[in-house]
Amino acid sequence: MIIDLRLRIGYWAIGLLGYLFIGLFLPSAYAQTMSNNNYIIKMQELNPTADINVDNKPTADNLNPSIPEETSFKVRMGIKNSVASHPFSILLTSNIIDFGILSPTNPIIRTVDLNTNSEAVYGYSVIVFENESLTASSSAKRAFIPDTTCDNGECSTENASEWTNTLTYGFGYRCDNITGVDCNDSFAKTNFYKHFPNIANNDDPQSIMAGVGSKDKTTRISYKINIPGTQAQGTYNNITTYIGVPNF
Amino acid sequence: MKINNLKLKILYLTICLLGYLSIAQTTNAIPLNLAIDPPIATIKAIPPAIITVPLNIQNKGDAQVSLQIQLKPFKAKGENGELEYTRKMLGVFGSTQILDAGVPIESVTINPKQQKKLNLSINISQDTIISDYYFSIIFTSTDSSLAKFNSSMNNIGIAANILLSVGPKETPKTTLEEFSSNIFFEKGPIPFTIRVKNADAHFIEPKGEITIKNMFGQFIGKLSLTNVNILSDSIRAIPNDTYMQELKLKNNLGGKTKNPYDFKHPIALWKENFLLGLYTATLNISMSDEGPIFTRTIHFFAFPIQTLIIIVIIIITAIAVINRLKLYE
Repeated sequence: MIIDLRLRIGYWAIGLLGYLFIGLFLPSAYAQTMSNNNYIIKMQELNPTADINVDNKPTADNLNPSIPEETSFKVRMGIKNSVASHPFSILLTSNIIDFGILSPTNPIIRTVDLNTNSEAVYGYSVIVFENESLTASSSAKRAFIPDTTCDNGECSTENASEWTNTLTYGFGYRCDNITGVDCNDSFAKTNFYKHFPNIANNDDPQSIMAGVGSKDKTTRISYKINIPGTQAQGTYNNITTYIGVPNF
Repeated sequence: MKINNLKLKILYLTICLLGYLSIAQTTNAIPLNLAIDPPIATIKAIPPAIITVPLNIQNKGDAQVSLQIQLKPFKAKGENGELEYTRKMLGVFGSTQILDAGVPIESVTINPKQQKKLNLSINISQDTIISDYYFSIIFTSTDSSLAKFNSSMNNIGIAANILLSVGPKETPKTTLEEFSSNIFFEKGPIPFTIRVKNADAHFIEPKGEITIKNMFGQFIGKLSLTNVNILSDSIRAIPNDTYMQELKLKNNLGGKTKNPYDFKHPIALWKENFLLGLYTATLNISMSDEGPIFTRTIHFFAFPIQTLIIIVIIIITAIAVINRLKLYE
């Protein structure tokens, strides 16, 4: 308890000085800017000493903040009202599929996982194609493993069908859902395969997976090869390309 | 032949080891991971204009990638916003460039976990044909080295779509092709099909909503339609956010839900489970800021037959039991 008058005055003086000291360093309120991918909202500078003017309303510019507005064009980037935290992306877990040693009538299946993040768009698809059939690069006759037509001879770049017979030869693929349901419906049945569109044959790239824009979709792509006993010896290679395409 | 001399043995083993190392191929499988931002850009321009749009391409993988840059024209495939590439070349390609620090490039190399900030530059000259131009900028990895073992080399690519509209704003020529639903429902949710045809030279971004009234004239539901782009000379089905959420839920559950909705056929969904009586749904849709505005009304009837049958059975059973008890008294 403070009884002495001088002590009391001293206490009040220190308190007042402390208050003034803190008050001097209080942050001032200035212009505020809030933005997202689609909008930028600019607040007019607040002056606490001025009278409040009812015309000082916030303004909203419906333009991307990074694009300067020109009189002759207008750009909007991304989709309206998007709250996506990640950009559109595609991941393939391996850049190479090693088939190992091929032996006749002994089918080889190898897999790679394909993942997409399409939260930033309403929908997407992944298209795929091969540069050519699996071709023996060292062979003088350019021996190749043809693209499969499956057991009934009817599977193609667009239609899948069953391939279980070890006497059915060729190179094909199928798609299985890991997360999501975006594999093409034609792969709904097990052991149903297609073959890759061949750019060398002027085939059009085909959609291997497609769906609504979402965070994490993963599919497993299985490559299958089966060769006959008459297949020329050699090292067979080709290049397969996957492209993630957002919807418009 | 037996080698007794130790020095000869070591030399022999060294030669064998070197031979093995020179022949053996190592398979260094690496993941490929690309991201792009923005995935879509819409541009409305009046000639002449020099347009610049920033593009960020990111290598999220653990190895350096070299990417080839291509421009590919596309058109609508189906009515859900999917696209398909065409082989025709667009007139604006001659004046379109991808710039890296102001320098035109056709390929780009990006280090692991790095991103490259590029610019799309389009020079719209005064004599550019008034039309729309739809194309993707595709970044594709270019590893074409063939392994010395049986293999398929995988390349990866990612696209950003550009919708470029050249010409002044006018009232677009559009038609509301369909606004429909079933006539009778036992219960919700109620699906509405909205299909808009754009016969104009430019893409449109319609804004619309469906309001639902019950038989007493009370407003009981409002569905805001998703803002989508409808390309010139195409039809698009317009969904709402509820439909999108249902599809995402279906995805998360691995397709193990009862909802029959699919990505190929967008609809607007009204999630109201208990429905009884006559309902009126009115669509108001504005095809652009300049119009036209279409209004169309449909009616549907809802009656929970299954629930009613169960209630009737319960009532009949209760009456029967009461009567039987009265007989015993």
